Amino acid sequence: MKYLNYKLSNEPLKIIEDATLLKNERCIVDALEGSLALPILIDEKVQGYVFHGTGKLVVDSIIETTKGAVGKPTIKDLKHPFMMLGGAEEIKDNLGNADTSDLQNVGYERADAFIEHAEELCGRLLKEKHCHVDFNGKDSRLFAFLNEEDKLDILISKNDKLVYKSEKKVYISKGNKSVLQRPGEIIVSRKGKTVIIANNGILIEK
Amino acid sequence: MSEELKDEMKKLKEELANMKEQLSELSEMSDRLRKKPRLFHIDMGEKIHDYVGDIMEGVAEGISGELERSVFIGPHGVRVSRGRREEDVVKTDPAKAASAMSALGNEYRLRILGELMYGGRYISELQDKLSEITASTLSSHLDVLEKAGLVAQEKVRGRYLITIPGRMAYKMAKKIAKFIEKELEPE
Repeated sequence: MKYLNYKLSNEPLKIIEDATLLKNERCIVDALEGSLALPILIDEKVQGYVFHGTGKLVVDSIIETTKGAVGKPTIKDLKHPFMMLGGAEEIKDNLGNADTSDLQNVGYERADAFIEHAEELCGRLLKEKHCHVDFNGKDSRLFAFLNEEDKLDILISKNDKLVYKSEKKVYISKGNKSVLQRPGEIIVSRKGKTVIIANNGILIEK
Repeated sequence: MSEELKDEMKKLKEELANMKEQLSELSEMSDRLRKKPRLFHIDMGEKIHDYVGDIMEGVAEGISGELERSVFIGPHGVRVSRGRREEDVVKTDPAKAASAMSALGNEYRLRILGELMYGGRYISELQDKLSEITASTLSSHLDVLEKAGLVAQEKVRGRYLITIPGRMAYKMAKKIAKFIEKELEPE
């Protein structure tokens, strides 16, 4: 579904204590102290935030096969704005009001500029793409990170399911099943069986 | 005439006789070929003929080469490859190869790889197995292996995993060691 009825708050907040937005066996998303946060309201309830400041993303986008591990962890400093849907309740204690100096620290002269930036990011995901977030599920999260090429990297997590899509790779994991697609290669692993489809051939492992 | 000159003349005469013999063999061979019936002859000029010959030879080599190296059916599965591995090996820069090999040139690093062959390990588990080295030494060995692409570390859980090149390198190192050991055995 497209979330056409979302609203953004007019009052920017800031992270007053480092917040872990998501942590499970395969990934961590942190927003660090001093980052700005703008609440996203859906059905008049805060369901997420747009963050801008400093943060960190780690995804263990590695697949274990009997022939050896394939892939590398993804580690990114989050300097560009990113949004999170789900888990809003869990970080409310890490947030406080932001003043002009907090906005200036991140590079905005006024709150309007940050809101405008956040609106653009939300519009790109919520108006243009179909997405679904189970706001009642405690572990459900959807992140959209603006990358260096001004495109969106997406991270979706729900229980043991994880999907990460960036310009160069797609990584999907659910229990003992994983898929990794990177330039010139697709690796599918399920219960210890692996199929590697690469530019130089196909490997099917029993 | 000196003795030396006489010997030289004798050698030259013998060589001349050999050459005459070879010439007569060649002319006999040529007669035989001329008498053999030919089904057809298309005069495409030497260059085109050579070119077509080269292509046919290349195709034949390619097909047999592909069959030899592209399909491997083993106990662990089926591999279909269209890579030109031999060419890749030849193209590898010796400096890069030496750098990759240097990561293997240490007993502890080989032991770490050997341990990881059984599955992912936390650093504490590796430390238990290599108790004779300090934690910082173990850590620096893991760094070397990681930089060489032989090991990957999960950044969330912290486990170390052996990569596909890591497994290949470990097996290769063991094979080379075994081969050399055999060669050095007294006969």
